[in-house]
Amino acid sequence: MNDQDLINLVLRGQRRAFAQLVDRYKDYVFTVVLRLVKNREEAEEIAMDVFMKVHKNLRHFHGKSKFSTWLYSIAYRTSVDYLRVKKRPVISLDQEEIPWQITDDSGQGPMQKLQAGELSREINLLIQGLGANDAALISLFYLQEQSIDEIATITGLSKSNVKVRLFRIRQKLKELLEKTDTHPLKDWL
Amino acid sequence: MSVMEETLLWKYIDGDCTPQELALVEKMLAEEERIRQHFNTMKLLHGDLLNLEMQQPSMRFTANVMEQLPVLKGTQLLASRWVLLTALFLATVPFLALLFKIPVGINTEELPSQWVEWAESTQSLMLAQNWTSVLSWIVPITALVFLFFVDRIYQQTEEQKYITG
Repeated sequence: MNDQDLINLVLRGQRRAFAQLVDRYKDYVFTVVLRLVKNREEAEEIAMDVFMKVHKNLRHFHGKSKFSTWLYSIAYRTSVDYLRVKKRPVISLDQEEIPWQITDDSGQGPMQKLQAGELSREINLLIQGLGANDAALISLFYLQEQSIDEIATITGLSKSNVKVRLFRIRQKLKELLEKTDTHPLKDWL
Repeated sequence: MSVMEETLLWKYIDGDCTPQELALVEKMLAEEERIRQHFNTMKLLHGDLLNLEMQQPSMRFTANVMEQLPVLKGTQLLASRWVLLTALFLATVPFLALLFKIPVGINTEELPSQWVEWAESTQSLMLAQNWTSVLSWIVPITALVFLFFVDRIYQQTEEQKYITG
């Protein structure tokens, strides 16, 4: 059953359909929120708040954009509002030194590391060290597979700004990975 | 590597290149080892970013969300329901007082036949009571009965409205 079918059922009063929507998107929403607020407990509370807002405003969703885009917009804005209230910065890559430190205690070779998802873990650590906005941006692009247009809608940034930021974030990630002495990419190439 | 070359390579990886850019990137990759090395690094990073694992909330997340919904419903209903009922009661009392007073002054002979019985019975009731008792119990009780039905309809509508988002 696609999103619109489930939405129609929710609008007809079927609560179980909403539970299905929550199940379908909870990981995505939680990941985006977590990238922004960087604390699991807070992220879970905010993600719940996001779904409450979605439920309350579902009748205002007219399908002009994808449901996921609408949902992530709510998640993004709720998180940014939360950070503002908490007076925590929504720092971007160009404003902050990335506090990364990856140590290699696995004793695995590059190929084993790649297979074991070690690289994935290291990239995850680097993303956690990014500024809130940039971490959310890269997650929307890769995990949520949102297009540049959709990311622009979600974040309220211009399309060109999204492109430039994505380029810079990926460049920075690549440089950081290359600098890591023990990084598999270094041996791999 | 220049920024322009890097931008082109990312566009190539994202599949956003124009045909001219595509040809240029393929030429660069075929001819320059240095570019090929950078491209491989970027492709590996891209692949790993695509395979990043999603973060997961607690196991009870969906249940917690669903449990929150009725709490909200109750709160919303409670707040708006009593405001509306009080306003309706205040508006209904003078309206009913007027409605009860009208039949007293009506000439029943001029009324259509279906209204005669209602007018005569109301008139006899009104004449049997003094105006103070009408205001003190007949009007408030009628208002309360009316509001009871309005409240039932309102509750049903609100519930439906909330469920439909």
